[in-house]
Amino acid sequence: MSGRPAVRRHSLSTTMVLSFTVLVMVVTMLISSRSYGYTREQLEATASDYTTQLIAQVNSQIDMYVEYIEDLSDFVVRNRAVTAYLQGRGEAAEVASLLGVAAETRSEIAALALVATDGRILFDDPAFRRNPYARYAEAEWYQGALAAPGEVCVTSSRVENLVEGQYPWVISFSQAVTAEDGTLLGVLLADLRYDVIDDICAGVQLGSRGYLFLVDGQGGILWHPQQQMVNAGLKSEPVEQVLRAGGEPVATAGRDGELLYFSQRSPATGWTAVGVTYASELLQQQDRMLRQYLFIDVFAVALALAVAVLLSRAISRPLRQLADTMGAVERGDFSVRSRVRSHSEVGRLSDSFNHMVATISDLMEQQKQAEAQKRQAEWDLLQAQIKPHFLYNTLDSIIWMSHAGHNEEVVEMTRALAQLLRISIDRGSEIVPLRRELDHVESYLTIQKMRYREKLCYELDIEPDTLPCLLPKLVLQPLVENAIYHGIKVKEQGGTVRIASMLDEDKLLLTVEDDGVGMTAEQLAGILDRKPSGEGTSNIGVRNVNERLRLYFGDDCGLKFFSEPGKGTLVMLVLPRILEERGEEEAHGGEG
Amino acid sequence: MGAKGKILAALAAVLLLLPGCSGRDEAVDVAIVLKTTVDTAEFWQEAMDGAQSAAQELGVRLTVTGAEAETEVDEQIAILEDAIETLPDVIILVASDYERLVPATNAAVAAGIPVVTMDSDVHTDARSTYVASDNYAIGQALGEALLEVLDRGQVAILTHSSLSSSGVSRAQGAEDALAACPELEVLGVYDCGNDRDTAADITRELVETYPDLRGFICTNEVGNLAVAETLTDMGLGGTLAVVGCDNAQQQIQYLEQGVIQAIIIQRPFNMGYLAVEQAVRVHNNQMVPDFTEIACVTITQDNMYNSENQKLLFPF
Repeated sequence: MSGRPAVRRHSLSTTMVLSFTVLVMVVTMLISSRSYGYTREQLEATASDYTTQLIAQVNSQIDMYVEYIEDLSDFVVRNRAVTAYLQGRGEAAEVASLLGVAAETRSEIAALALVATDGRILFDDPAFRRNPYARYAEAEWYQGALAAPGEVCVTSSRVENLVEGQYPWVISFSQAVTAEDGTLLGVLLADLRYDVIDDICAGVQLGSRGYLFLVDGQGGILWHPQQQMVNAGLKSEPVEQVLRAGGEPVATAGRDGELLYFSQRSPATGWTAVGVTYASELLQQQDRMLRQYLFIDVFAVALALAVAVLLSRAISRPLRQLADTMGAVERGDFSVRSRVRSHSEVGRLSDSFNHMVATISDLMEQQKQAEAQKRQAEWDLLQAQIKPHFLYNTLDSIIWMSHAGHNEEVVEMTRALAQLLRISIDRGSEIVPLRRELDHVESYLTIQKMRYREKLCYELDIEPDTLPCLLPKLVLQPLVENAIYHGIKVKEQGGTVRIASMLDEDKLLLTVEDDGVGMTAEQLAGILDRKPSGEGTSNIGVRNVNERLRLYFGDDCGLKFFSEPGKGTLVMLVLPRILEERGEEEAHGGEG
Repeated sequence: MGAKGKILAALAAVLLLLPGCSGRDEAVDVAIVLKTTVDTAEFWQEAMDGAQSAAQELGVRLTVTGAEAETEVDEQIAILEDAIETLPDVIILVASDYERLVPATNAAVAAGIPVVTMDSDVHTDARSTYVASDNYAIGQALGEALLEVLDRGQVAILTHSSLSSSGVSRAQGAEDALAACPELEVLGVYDCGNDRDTAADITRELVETYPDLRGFICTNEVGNLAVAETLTDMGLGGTLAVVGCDNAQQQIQYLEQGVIQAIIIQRPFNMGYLAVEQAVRVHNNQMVPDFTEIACVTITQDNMYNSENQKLLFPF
């Protein structure tokens, strides 16, 4: 909302929202694709289980009929009356009624026929007439039964033509009848109505479009819901492929998409029940599932988006507030403080910021005070520069010397005073080379020497290397003054002021030494005390020097006093060694 | 806010697009106009079974109409015109008259309704395709079946009509097939007018007139049964070669007995099925041939009980 660059504003919250959303999207997609895959597998497994169970059920129902008819067949075949009839010994009527009773127990039995090897045929129903043109001897059921005595032979679906005028569709079961010595006597034929298969299979529903069909032992389609179409050759099934798979599901591409064939072979009949399901039906479920998963995904992403927006706001709002506060500080208002309070990093940042602003503001306060002090010191310096008493005294000295006719002395003193004043009043630079400072002190000492005569002696012990070193101006004179007024002036026999300079590595050492009265420990302690000690105004000058040195070079620098009562005082200045630049030297040189 | 809005819009679009890709329920309306709906002939029942099966398979809504009797040509014209009024996608027509149904057929095509003819054609190029057995091919199959059991002697061809295209074409096909064997003499083509008694009379007369007569070719069920019955009555069953058309149960019994040596069967189920299938193809602007042949099958005593043929001969 403020006038910052838009790029910046976008980056944090948008990046956060985007990355969070993308992260959640990726994670949900990953999870749901995995669980989708898993559920899909489960669905397929369930579908195949269901189909397998259904076809197993169909098989077991058919097997039940088969078992029943096999039992019945065994019963008839082992009957003595039957063997007797076939051997031409027994009563036909007795056997016929036996067959009739056997057939009547089950309506599913279309016909029972006992066919003797000599060509006689006995039916269960006395109304049945034999079809004279039926060529049963070559039929599968007859041949099969003879080939495997003791076994029940099962045919595929077929049209039975043994009874005159009837051509029913049946499944034929046949079993050879043998004499006790093993000679073949005939074959018992039991025809099961084809409708039975229809009843069992037609009710089976696999999904809304799936279906079931039966394949006989020869690979022909025994029963199919669209039998007519199969018969007409308009519908075919991949029977060979399914049988070859031996019970494993087979997938083929049909007109309406992929078809899945599940099969199970019944050992009793040799038939294979095949369940067909449309993969697309499974897919429909999968689609629904996919949609559900997608809905969940989208919901999760939307939620993530919302959370990301809220979260980014929660984070960026205090940041923005902090930024606004910073802006205020930037504009110079150090009184503001960030009101962001939290235990998070932002809270800590806010606290640090507040601390920083406070420190900066303290520092600035100190700076201001230092500035003020400096100004005060400069003012003091100015005060010190013009020492009316000193000036009057000097001028009086000049007048007296004039009166006394000491013209040379007058000239010397006047020249010294002039130089002293010139250097004091010169406001050009606060920092001057030692050379100039010494000029100033010498002028001062010249004047004082003329006034105190033999009572004051002075020595300068200056290393030439120290001459170009820079130092704040007017630092030596107050110390010399101090030495004269507090050390030598009060001493009967007078004394000597000795000024020395030397270099100690990167330090410039200056000493002002006197052999005056010296100072007591208390005096020494009080000499740099800021409070006016009442011992004379000259102390101000020394303190001033001390403070100025500290201002320039920090607290490490300053004055060090070594004094003993009766022996004298030594003041030492320790300053960093700073060399003047050439131009400056020349400029000053020119001036001097 | 703009960026977030776009993301949301994109997500919403994805969500909306995904499920919206289904729904293609467009059943084809097919109107079948039969010669008659009263006829309960097994042939037509099977044909309609085939049509229904195809309708189920291909997603077709079938409407079946027809006249009171096969001879009511005017009524069939009126029924066809009514059918056009209901604006079906395709009309399947079993024309009761080759010429007189032409105007109505043209009118249907002019109204944007393609017409597929089944079993009996109309005399116009406007119809899309004609689905039927090839009568000439049936005739040839009859001749060839006879040649399987006969290589010399005299043969008579008994047709159900010397006026209808089926009768003429079948007789012609048979004659042409028999020409392959010069030892066989075709006595002639005899028209029984699709009447059993006439056919029986002709049979008796021919048998009595031509002692060298060795075989009969009958162009349909009526003549075939009459010949078989007459020969059986005369005690000659099985001594002469008889081939015929269609598969009435009696014919099958004669075949079993050896009185009839072969029957050529059409497959009406396939005809009904294919007619509907072709109607759908026409509706979908797919290529269809001018004539869609329903192949016929030759059944003999030896192959009648094999698993394929018994399914064709004996209805479930």
